[in-house]
Amino acid sequence: MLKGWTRLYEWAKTWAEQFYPGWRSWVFFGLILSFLFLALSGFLFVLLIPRGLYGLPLLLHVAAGGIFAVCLSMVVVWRARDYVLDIVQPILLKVMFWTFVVSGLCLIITSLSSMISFLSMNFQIGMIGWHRFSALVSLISISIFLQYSLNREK
Amino acid sequence: MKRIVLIVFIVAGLGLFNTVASQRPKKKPQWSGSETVPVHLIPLKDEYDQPIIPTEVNPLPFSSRFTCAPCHNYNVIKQGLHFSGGNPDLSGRAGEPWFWLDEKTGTVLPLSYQKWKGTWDPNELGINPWDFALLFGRHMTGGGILEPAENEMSPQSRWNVSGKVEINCMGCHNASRMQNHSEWAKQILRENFRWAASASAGLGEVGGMASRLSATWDIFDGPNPDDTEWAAVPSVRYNASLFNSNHQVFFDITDKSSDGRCLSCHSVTPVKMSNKSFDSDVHSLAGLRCVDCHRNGLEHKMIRGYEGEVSLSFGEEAETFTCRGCHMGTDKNKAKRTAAGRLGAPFPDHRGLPAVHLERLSCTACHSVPWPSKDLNQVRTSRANRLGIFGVAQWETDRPHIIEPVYARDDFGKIAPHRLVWPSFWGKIADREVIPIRAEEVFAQAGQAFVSEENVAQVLLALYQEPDLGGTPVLITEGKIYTRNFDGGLNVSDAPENLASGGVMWAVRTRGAILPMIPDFDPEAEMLDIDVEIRIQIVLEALATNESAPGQPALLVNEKMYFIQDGYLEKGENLEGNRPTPWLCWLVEGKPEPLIGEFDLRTVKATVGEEQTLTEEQVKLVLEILNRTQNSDESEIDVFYTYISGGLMFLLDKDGELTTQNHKSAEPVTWPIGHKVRPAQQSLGINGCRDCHRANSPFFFGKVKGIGPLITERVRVRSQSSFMDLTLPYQRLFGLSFSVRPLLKVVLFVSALVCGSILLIVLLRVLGRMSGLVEKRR
Repeated sequence: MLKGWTRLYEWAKTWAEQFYPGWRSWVFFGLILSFLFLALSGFLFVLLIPRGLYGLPLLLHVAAGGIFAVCLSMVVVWRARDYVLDIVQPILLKVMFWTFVVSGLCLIITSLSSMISFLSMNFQIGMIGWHRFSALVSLISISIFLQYSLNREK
Repeated sequence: MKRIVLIVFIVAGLGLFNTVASQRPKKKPQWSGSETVPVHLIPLKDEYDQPIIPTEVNPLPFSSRFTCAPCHNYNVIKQGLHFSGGNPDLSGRAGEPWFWLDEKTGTVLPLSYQKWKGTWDPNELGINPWDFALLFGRHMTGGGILEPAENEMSPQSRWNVSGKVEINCMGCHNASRMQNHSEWAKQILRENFRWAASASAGLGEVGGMASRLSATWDIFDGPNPDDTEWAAVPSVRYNASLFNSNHQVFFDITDKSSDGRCLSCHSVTPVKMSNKSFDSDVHSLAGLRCVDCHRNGLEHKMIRGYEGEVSLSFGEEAETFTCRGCHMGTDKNKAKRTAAGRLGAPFPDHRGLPAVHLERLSCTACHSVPWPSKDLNQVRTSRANRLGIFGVAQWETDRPHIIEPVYARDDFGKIAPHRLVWPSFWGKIADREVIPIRAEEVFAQAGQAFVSEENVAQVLLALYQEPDLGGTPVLITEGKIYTRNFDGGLNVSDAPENLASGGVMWAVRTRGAILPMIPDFDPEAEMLDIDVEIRIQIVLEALATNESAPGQPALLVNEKMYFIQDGYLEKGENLEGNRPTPWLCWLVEGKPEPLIGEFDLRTVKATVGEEQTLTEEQVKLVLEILNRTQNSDESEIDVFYTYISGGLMFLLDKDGELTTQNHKSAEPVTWPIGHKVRPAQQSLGINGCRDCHRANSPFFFGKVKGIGPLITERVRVRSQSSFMDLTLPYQRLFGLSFSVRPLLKVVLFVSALVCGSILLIVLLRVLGRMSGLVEKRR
């Protein structure tokens, strides 16, 4: 287990040095850490606590969501060009990258919708469903992306 | 012969069948389908099922049990909600308890037979149905415990004199404006139980008082020819013009009671508000009546209208009468995509409201009762504060001190607005439990601690009865003037500036001027001024009429003493020292004592004109007396006495000082409330999340301060959050987070815009490539 985490850290470090030089690495790590916390807090509460996410973890979840949104948009700006059609990359990586971006965008929009006062409650309830679905998609896509990248390095 | 035997058998068989058939329970009447109410032109029956002829001598009062019985099954009706208050098995969420008040001893004790949290079972306190009827029958509908069976009557009760309180059908169903709730209350207080319905329905005049009759009197004894004034037997003189030639009476009956009938017992009004400023419930203003939602069948098991209610009359349909059921529809309706609930009530969009609010809050939390503010509202209710009884006497009371809204969790775990009362009572502590003591028991043992105001009033009364005094006797001390009122207590007002300082002064108020009771004079003079002499004599004679006087009245001036002996004013030596101004006193075993003792004076100064009626000094004194009495008994069990007030338990420590502790018996009693519902535009949250979620929001952080009859700084203070079982620091943090929420919205919006734009560009590029509009990059 520890070995796996060490490997993941080494990969992230190398990846950051390669693609996010200097201060940009903060953005990259911000994205990873915020996503990790979002996924852990979100899924653990939904799966284990009948009431769902609440209390201090909810506050931190919202705060981490803000960090994730900023970092994601910056990463997309910097890295989008590496995953367009013309660039030579495995197609799976491209698909997973854009799936992650689309689901991330969905997560941001569905979060934002619960804070906007002109949307009805029923609409918001629908948005919560979308939020959870997007979170699942993003988790799956990033998992495949990581697995593929790690295997390629090996 | 055989034929005769056969005929006898047939006749006997028919007779038996008829008897059995008549004993069978009558079939439950079904609704005919007509939406009209039949004209109720019916004969009146008395409690012995005999027709009432108004012109007869001494007719009995009408009985609803037998008058309504031919068409309405009384035994079915008496299962109803309003007649089941004494049934401990009655399920359902907590409602407003009854409050047993005793102003003198500072007792405010919540009572309920339903074992609601924070209430006391009347049976445990020795309150039998008879006591209960006298205490609260004024705002009860009759039936239930007020109509006890023979074996349920306690020996001390006087049901044989008063009669039972049958269900007062007309109290709700009489559409006539003659229906008089005040008359009902008056008759109940006079113990005229069986006459109360006739009097309050306006069918006739009821005179006499059962409370003044001997305990052996019975309805068959009839009137007492020897006493038609004081202990006159209650009787009803029917209004003959209401009867037709067949002795039938027209009852203006409605099956759906008007709101006024409900509000006789269910009014709730803010204390500091005039009736001109008072707004009704938004549903009432829209034209709905109470009974439009709070419906019932013949069983009178009324729908209370809260979520999760188990209604035996309506089954699942009861859910459609809740706020949610009416405005949002039940799940069944939703499946059919019905837009709203019952009668198409407006469907709430709840725009911008996270759905979790509907899971955690009752509808009333946002839509009902006053907007939460720093200071909670004090309200009075009909049943607790005796509202709606009009007459020469003032019936309404300030106590219990009911406050709202307190946001607490209800039986279903939802946060709902509640009304709250802090209990106050004397009790004994045994095995860490507090057992309340009846107010009369406390008074019997330590009465002298509670009569300070009466002591002053007695002196003033004695002086008041002397017509030659030339004005109203008053007591002046520390800038306040105390006068006796007609309830046997005192009124207080500010003294003129020239009298604002100084000690105790007995004076006479006449035409705006205040003069000393005894003017200054020179006692050493050879001849006393005749006017002064007369004045001294009438004042001393008046004081001598005070029945509670501890001794003979006297007047001390300089080194002289004046007193009455054998009807003459005598002058003697004052051995107690020099008195520069005339000083009225009692001579107790030859020693002068002030007309009013220091304890009484301190108590009067502290309590008269105040809402609170007790001082810490009084409480300490009473506890000392009660503990001493207990110790004098040869009891092996250690029992100590306590006074509960303001959310704390007051008791004496080992040094005899008054100390306080928290105790579950001192916890407040709360009950959820539904009305008054505000318009949607005034609902909580209409201004956004920060109506509740901010660092100092009264919704979460408002203080609920203990209040009781005791004047003290030592009271329990709880935050609203504590009633919701929420963590205060977290709620503060959560509230603060709403300060940065606008920033978060901007961040999310910009991020979404950036990601969305790039995705759009990529998508357009893909489309461009596919359509050949965009060439492949080299």
